[in-house]
Amino acid sequence: MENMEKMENLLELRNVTFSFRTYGGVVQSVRDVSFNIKPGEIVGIVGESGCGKSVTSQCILKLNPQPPGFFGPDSSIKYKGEEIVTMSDKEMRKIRGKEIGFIFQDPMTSLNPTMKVGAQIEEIFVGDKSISKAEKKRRAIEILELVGINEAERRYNQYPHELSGGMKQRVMIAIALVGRPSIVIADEPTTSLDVTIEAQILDLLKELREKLGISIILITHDLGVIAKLCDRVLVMYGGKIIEHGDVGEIFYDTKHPYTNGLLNSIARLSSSKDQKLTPIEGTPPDLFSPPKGCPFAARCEHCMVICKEQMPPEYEVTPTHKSYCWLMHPDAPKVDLTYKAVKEEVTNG
Amino acid sequence: MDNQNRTPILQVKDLCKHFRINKKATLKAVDGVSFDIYEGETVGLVGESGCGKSTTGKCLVRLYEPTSGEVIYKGKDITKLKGAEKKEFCKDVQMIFQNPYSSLNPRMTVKEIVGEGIKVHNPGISDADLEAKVLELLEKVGLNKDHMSRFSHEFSGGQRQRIGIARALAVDPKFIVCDEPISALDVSIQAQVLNMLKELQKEYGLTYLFVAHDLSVVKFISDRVIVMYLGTIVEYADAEELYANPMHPYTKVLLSSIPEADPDIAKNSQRLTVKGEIPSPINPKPCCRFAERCPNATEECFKTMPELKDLGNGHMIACHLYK
Ligand SMILES: Nc1ncnc2c1ncn2[C@@H]1O[C@H](COP(=O)(O)OP(=O)(O)OP(=O)(O)O)[C@@H](O)[C@H]1O
Ligand SMILES: Nc1ncnc2c1ncn2[C@@H]1O[C@H](COP(=O)(O)OP(=O)(O)OP(=O)(O)O)[C@@H](O)[C@H]1O
Ligand code: SF4
Ligand code: SF4
Ligand SMILES: [Mg+2]
Ligand SMILES: [Mg+2]
Repeated sequence: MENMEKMENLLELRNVTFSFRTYGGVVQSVRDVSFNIKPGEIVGIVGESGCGKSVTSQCILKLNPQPPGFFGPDSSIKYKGEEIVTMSDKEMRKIRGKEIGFIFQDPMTSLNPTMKVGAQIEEIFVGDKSISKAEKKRRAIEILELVGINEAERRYNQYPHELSGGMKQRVMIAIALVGRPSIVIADEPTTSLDVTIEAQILDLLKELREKLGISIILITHDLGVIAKLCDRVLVMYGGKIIEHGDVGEIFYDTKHPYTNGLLNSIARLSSSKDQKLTPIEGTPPDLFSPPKGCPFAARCEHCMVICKEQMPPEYEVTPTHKSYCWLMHPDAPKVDLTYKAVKEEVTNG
Repeated sequence: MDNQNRTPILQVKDLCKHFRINKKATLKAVDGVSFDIYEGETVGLVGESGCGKSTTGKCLVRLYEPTSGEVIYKGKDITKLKGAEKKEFCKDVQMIFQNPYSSLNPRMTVKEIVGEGIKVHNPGISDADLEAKVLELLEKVGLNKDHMSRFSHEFSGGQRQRIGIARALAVDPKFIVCDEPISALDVSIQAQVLNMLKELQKEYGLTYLFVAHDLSVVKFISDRVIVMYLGTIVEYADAEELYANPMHPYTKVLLSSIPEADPDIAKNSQRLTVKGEIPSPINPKPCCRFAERCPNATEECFKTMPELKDLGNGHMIACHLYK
């Protein structure tokens, strides 16, 4: 039984905690985060700036230098059953890019301006004697074509500054894919792009999942991107996952006041001009001294005494949908958390 | 709103702002843009990065001198204003900037930032009156007395943007260019600022030019919307009308590129996509700027520039498809 479950998950994070020692104290960027990634699924991580999305995803490949960063004692990250937290640098090199690829937040700063595109794509093969020079080039060109770059042969010999923003992002994706990983982590892959280019890149990611069967962990603060692309969503707040579920469950059957707050605070194409947006008052917690209870308590309109005292446990809404909120306790008051503007439109009819 | 019988508070006529790159190259950031704005309305200005939105906004507040064309405020060309008229214009027309992190002087306290403009326009004001006025403004934007003596770098992005808004309001403006006032903010904070801008508009009868690249936000706040592409206006219409019935091929693509925050809609909508990217604004060809990417382009589109025409009911569009 346990074995079967393991087969299903490519990646398993359990109680992952990751902090940084700084002059100001210890920043607890990721706090007790657990989730799984199955083959071929697209999982979104959403939440506002500083909530720990990037650090969570960087932990998976141990991209943060240790020290000043360090894992908490019970943290476990298993890729195909193998523990990553305790893996040596040498072993990690077999994982990075080859098993798990990473697309960084900003293509303008993450590409090396002094190196040709082709060479940057082939970097993953450095020191690998089993692949000939010609074969490396063939794979680089093949991957450039796959990510929709025309005249791949010519682009192979160009420098990043000769490419447009959208093309640079495609090169970033090519770099992440050339080692044929089974999981790709994309950290805000479209945030710096214009909407028409963003649409092209989102289509590309979707197509790559279909063609290659890869899993994608997609980090974004844009709920539209999540709605468009993801099968499942993890909502983060103050370093913790506060709700996760299938995309439909999160958008249409929210069981957490923060998720509900996010859904109510965004302007939508379908919303009317007379409608008022419902902001979430206040600001996110300070991760130097996060609250001991629910991280959202200071801004939550439903906050109860217990919320400030004790971290809410995991509550199961469905086998795929979990919420960490005291409102889910059987004795708590009943609160309707569905997206309100939808309801208004229906009643105004 | 019926604009037939009113005179616009602001008229922009064939505005151009060109930057000389070198002897052979000119960057045409804004190239022949004309539009009207009526008192009390919010006009949204949308388009992708580099299409000339901020440049247009800066020409309206005289941060940039136009290369050619006119900006007429309350019937007068703003480049020709002198003396008292010029002073009144500088008070009436304010701008809120794109980046709340760099647009405030870090060495000034909030009181100094917000009070600066008040002092310029009321030279004899007493310290007590100044302080009272600053406090009133801070409270309007949801800040308080404790914030007055702090420096701007001690504030979050949302708070800084509020300080920027308080600074703009300090001189009793009539018209505010809001250049992407919320794009650097988190979604949960964006709504706070948007709601506030709407309330302030009602209270003071303000007119806004609201620049943004997020079309959902623009729809939420605007009465009318201008769509720009590569230095030109391609469509200008009533907001409801534009979103329900976009006519320019570029507007259609732009609207259908937005991922809606609703999985059923986002996953099932048939999207129009467009190939390639925005071409360079340096030495653009004298034809439709969208021609290279347009799915409907004909030979004519590569030869002549379509003019902005009113199709009736104030829906204006620049495209050869509409005669
Ligand atoms: N190298 C570091 N040293 C110290 N603190 C860090 C470091 N990297 C991140 N942090 C802190 O950890 C927290 C989480 O940061 P993270 O980058 O994961 O946020 P995020 O959710 O990705 O935000 P954004 O949407 O702005 O990218 C933040 O408070 C951040 O300041
Ligand atoms: N002072 C300047 N000198 C030279 N070029 C400029 C200057 N200001 C703007 N430009 C150029 O003019 C064009 C329009 O810029 P502008 O800032 O108006 O665009 P925008 O629509 O506001 O874009 P964004 O959405 O990125 O803010 C760009 O190509 C820009 O590089
Ligand atoms: S646990 Fe309490 S404070 Fe936290 S989200 Fe639920 S109701 Fe609000
Ligand atoms: S003028 Fe021609 S190229 Fe330009 S948008 Fe219209 S149809 Fe397309
Ligand atoms: Mg990040
Ligand atoms: Mg701008």
